[in-house]
Amino acid sequence: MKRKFSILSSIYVVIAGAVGVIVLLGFFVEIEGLHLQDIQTILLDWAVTVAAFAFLLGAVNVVRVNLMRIRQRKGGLYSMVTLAAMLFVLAFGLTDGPHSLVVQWTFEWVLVPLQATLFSLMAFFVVIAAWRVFRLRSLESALLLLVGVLILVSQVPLKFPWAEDLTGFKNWILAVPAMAGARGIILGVTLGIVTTGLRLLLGIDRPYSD
Amino acid sequence: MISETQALVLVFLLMFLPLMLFFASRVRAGHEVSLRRIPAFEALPDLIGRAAESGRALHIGLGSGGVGGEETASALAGLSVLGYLADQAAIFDCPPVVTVADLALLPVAQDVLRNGYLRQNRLHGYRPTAVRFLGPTPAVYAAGVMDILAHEGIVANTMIGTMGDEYLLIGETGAKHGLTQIVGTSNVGALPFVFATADETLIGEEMFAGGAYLSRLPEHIGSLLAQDWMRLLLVSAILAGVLWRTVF
Repeated sequence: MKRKFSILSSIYVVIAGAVGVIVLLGFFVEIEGLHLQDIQTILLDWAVTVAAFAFLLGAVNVVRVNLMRIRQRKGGLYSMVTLAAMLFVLAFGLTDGPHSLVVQWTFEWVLVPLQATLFSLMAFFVVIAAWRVFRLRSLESALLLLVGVLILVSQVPLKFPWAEDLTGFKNWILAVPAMAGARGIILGVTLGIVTTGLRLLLGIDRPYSD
Repeated sequence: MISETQALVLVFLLMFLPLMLFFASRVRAGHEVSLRRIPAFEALPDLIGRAAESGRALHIGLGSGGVGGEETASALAGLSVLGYLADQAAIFDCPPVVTVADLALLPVAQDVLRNGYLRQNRLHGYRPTAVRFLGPTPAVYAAGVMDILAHEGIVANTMIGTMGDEYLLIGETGAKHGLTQIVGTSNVGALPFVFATADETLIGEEMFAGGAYLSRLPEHIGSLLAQDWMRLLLVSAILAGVLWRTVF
């Protein structure tokens, strides 16, 4: 996939690269009289202001998608409820501000309990997922099952002859092999993030233009 | 005055940059590079093929993170895969359903999808509503994706980006409906859930290699090679540090 050259695209790359380099340098370099940190703060403030406009785009997107669903009769009833709720909260938010009692009440007594209810289902989902993973299919899954069962048993507050050994084994599994694996993954992710950042600064990755 | 940590990070970045440019120039000059197999990336074209054959949509989730914070790199990795799938979707005329949970990511995802259709001269097939903002919190995003997977005739589920525990709700819904799932996340805490529910996984850094595997751009392959060398350097430094502390 080869990119076509365009002046506009090059301007975007230069602006994005320059802003990126200034913000990055602000973290490392202090040059007297240049006040890089101040410039960095101003640029980050601008980014926040620009991002705020995305709220408008988001609201338009929610309306358009839900109207489309109503027209196509794909969960139209839920879409009507979504739009009605959005307009309801928006109306009170615009008239009384974000600290409006109705808006606060909606968040506290509708949104928060609904989110908590959804996450409370996690326990059942974890059991189903564990059931699928702990099936004996290969040597790896057998090992996973064995270690999983031993760790589960070690968490049970029962007194049996080798309970202390089992707790020691659990601690070792969590502190040594599991931690080593997790740190390996985190190291790789960090390198991946640095590479992605550098590609963005150099204009190789251009999510803002093609 | 810059601190020791700042100096170390600066040196690390300054070492990374020339390595990246050197390997990119080698690949551009025609140096052959063999990349190890990553089954998740190999399976992606097949998903689009299945979507085209069945006339059903492919779901592409960019996770509950966004751009502008710590999750930016993960979101960019998702966008890189979206860019590839957008081209394929335009060629085979099978519009995907793309979901985001971040308002700043919404216009970027729309632009990436639109560019895919533009590159294939099929802009008439692009619909801005193909990208949906579901909600800014993980629970709301998960609820939205669960509904899409269950009721919108989705043929397969691809999710690449930042995901937390809420992924399990999505992944289990996909698995329950027999969807093929390709999932990548950099969050170690969510990996067991991904492993339990997805057919193919992109673990950790693999998700950042999408550009090299899918678009085969020399700069992407070069950066992947630079990444490998930096990893060798870091592992060597860790081993040397362990030896030093053990002996002295």
